[in-house]
Amino acid sequence: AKAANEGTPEFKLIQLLKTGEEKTREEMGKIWGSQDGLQIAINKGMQSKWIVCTKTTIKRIAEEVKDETASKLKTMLANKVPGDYDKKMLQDLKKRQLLSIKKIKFYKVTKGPNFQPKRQAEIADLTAEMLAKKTWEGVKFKKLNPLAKGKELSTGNFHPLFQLRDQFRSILLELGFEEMPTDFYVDSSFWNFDALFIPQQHPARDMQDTFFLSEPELCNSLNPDLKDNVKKAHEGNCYGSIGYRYNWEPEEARKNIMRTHTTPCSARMLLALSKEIAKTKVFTPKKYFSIDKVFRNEATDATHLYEFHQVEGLIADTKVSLKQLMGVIAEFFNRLGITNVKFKPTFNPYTCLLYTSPSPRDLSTSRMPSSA
Amino acid sequence: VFFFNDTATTEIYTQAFVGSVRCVQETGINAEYMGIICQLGSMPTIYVIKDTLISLLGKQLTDEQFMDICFDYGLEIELTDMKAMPHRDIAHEKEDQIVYKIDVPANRYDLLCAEGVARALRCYLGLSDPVTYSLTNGGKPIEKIVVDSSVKAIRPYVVCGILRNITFTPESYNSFISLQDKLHATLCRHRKFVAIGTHDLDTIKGPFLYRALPPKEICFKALNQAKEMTAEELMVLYEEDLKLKAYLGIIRSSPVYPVIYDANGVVLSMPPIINGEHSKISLKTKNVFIECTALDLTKAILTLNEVICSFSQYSNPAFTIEGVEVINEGKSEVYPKIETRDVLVDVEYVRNITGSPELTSAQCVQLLKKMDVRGEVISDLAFKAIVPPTRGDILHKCDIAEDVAVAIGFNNLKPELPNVSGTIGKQLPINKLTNELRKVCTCAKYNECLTLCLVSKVEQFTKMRKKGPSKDNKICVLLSNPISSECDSARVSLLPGLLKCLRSNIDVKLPIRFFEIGDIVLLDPSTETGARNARRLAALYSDLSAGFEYIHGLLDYIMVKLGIPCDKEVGYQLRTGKDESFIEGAQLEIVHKGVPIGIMGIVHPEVLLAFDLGYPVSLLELDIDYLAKVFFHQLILKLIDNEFRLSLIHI
Repeated sequence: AKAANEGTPEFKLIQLLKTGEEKTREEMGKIWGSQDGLQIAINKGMQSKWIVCTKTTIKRIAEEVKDETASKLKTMLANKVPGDYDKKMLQDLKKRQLLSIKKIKFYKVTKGPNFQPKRQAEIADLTAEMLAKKTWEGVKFKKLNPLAKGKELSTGNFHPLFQLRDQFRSILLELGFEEMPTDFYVDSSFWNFDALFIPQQHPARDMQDTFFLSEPELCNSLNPDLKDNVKKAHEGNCYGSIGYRYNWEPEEARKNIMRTHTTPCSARMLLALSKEIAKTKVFTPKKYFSIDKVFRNEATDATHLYEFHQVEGLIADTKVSLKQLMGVIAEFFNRLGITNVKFKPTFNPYTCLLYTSPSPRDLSTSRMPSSA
Repeated sequence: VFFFNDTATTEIYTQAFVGSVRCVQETGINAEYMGIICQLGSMPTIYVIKDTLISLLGKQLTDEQFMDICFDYGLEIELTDMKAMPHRDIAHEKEDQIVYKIDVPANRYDLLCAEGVARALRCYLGLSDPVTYSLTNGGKPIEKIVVDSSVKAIRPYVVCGILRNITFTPESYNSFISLQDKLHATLCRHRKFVAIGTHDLDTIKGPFLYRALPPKEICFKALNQAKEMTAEELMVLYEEDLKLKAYLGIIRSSPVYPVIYDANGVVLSMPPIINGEHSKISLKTKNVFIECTALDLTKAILTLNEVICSFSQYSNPAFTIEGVEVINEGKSEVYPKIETRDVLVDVEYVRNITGSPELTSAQCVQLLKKMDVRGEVISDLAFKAIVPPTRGDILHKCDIAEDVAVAIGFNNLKPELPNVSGTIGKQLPINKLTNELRKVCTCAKYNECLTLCLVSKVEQFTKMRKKGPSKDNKICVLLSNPISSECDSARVSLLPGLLKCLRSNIDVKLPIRFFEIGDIVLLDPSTETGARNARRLAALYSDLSAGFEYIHGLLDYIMVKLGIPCDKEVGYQLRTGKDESFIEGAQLEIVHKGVPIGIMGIVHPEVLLAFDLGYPVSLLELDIDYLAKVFFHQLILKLIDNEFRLSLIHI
């Protein structure tokens, strides 16, 4: 305000000089009266081209001077309502401390849709108490956060391997298979190998593939119905086969092992079936299956343990051929959602025409194990 | 790679994996031994350079085509490179050749070399007819070998044959050596049953003598050795040889070792250990004398046939073999026995097996040619298969039918579903009950576990504060050749398995609830094998406190679901138990009419310490077999019944 009314310091300075007049700085200082603001006045005067300065002297060069800055300030003071001013100018004036810029925020406040005379918080949960006391009426509930996760539940679960087993079991039951008893992990070499036409020197009967037992070391007795027939089959010239032509040892067959496959159970079912047919003189077709544990003394790795489960199936009927075998297998996989099944011939001592599903190189499309 | 603590154990495993041990060395870490053992699976593998196979086959095929053909034939092919080939087989400087790794069916000894595979595939592709092998000189042998009775005790049989005017190339030479290795490893059971020896006939002079002598009296320059050594010295020398040491045990303990001499006293070989340096074969060998000494004559004949027939293609004239007379106890036989064998097959049988009712006798014979088996039509109803000496795997007419099926191509037969009208699906009652119980436990928020049946004695007895098996009290099934002491017995309870499972899952949120329903193995002299399975249910609860009431709660829940009341007369009862694994007094036995059918309680802190567990545990184990036997039929009915009633009761 002072500057607006009295004039800016440079204006005042100019008044002290006549046009063309030159005075030393010392003299000016004395006239000025105080050092206060003198240098600023000089600078501004020079800037406005009213005076010219050297190191020691000041000379007024302008004839007429107008204190524009002061008049601007006067205008501003007069204006009650703030107007648009040049920003740069405002900055300059601010720098000279001739004016200060205050920011005032204005809010226009009106009633919103949720306006309440009394302040109320949003309710997060509905409680039994609220229901009882009816305090839920008129209450606003917090919107649920769609990005948050729920509370971690403590749950029971089935084992993933058994979930798969249940799936296989269902499929086989649907296909009309009857479940076989397999409740003996310990079996004799007779049932696990010999009765299945696996010769006694076969590598699978080695210590490095099979677990032998020290207790109980030998089975109590060999099945009398089968023992002689098995001996004949191995030694050859029987049942239309030349056999393996070696001396079959009953003592070797008595050795107990942890079963290496569930096929001994199938073999027992075949014996029971043959006895039933002999007794009743009637043949009814049969389909048997089992899914149970087997044990092999093999190298373990990320996907192989020495104990694992095997799925076993058996169909006894007249007029079943390779086609029906492949048909059932294909249908089994079909029900698992695997449709591109190809068959490859392979060898097993107790089957002719064993085959396997896709070879490892097709695994990328089928993801199936390499033997069925 | 296997690590052992001492030489004794290393020895046992080296013997067991006879022939497959690549190297054994002392690691120096507390004198531990390292044995690199490559296991032979039941599918033998051969490595064949692709170019060699193509030239033997006589037809250019892409890798893709090869794989498809082999797939349909029953062979598994994998592409690899020279680096994968076993040491022996590398003869070539050409390092970047494509090599096929072929998995051969375990009974097809004729496919254990490139020549065999090529011959089989040539027939399969119709590029040639099945080979007929013949003995030269009208079957009359020129050479002979006399068998002395001294070998009867140690290695009674020998069979021999000769290939004349043979021309080896580096590939065929390597193949010849490799085939012998493969046969030794498979059919010969690591030289135990049969050992093959091959000799340059031009360096030796017949008649030959096969006898057994005390080791001190056998002296010769063995293969690759600089000087003559006695058999005793050789046995000592080969103790250090990684490959040969495995075979020493076959004759070591015998007072006499078998040896083959020629007429000038030159040692051909000391089977099954090593051949002599004098008669060794080389690329330049023109006439090969092959001998197979054996414990089993059948295997010896088969082995000789495989070696001599496959390589007879290189003699001149091709596919001719010279017989050798073997005189044993005055009896004279000419080997090799390469006569064909006739198998009579009725066409109806083949039709039934292949499911192809339109197959004719003539078609069967045509198809068999693709499988390297000649045949003759006898009538519309039957044909004769003429089995060559290389197909020792054909035992019965079912093998002929199988070959017809392979010749047709399995994937050319259309799969059909069997007539299902005759069979109805059926579950085993015990498995049905097990599944119901699994649902019950899962509903109770218990997590299902699957633990191993083979456990260590320490784990299931010592750690559980129980007495282990002894001579008078053989509580459990014991393995005689376990992989390690980690699994030397079969479990008699599910509880140690659950505790071990807990140890592996200690970072799971508390409270921890596990269950398992599975079989244990018990000794039972009344069964055929002396052991039987028994089904148990076990549950584990662990939290900051033992929470026995929760395990008890599970038992109550299970019994309610099964419809078994807590009643002295018709249901179950609880009484204080005396199981060492639980805290004294803090355990209850579950009984039915005085018969114990389960146990539950707070696990003893010493047991927790032994299993390295920091939180208290309560356990439950129930005999499911008993429940099934006593309650089953009513159970299944009640299960259905209970579901309707229980929905009204707040549990």
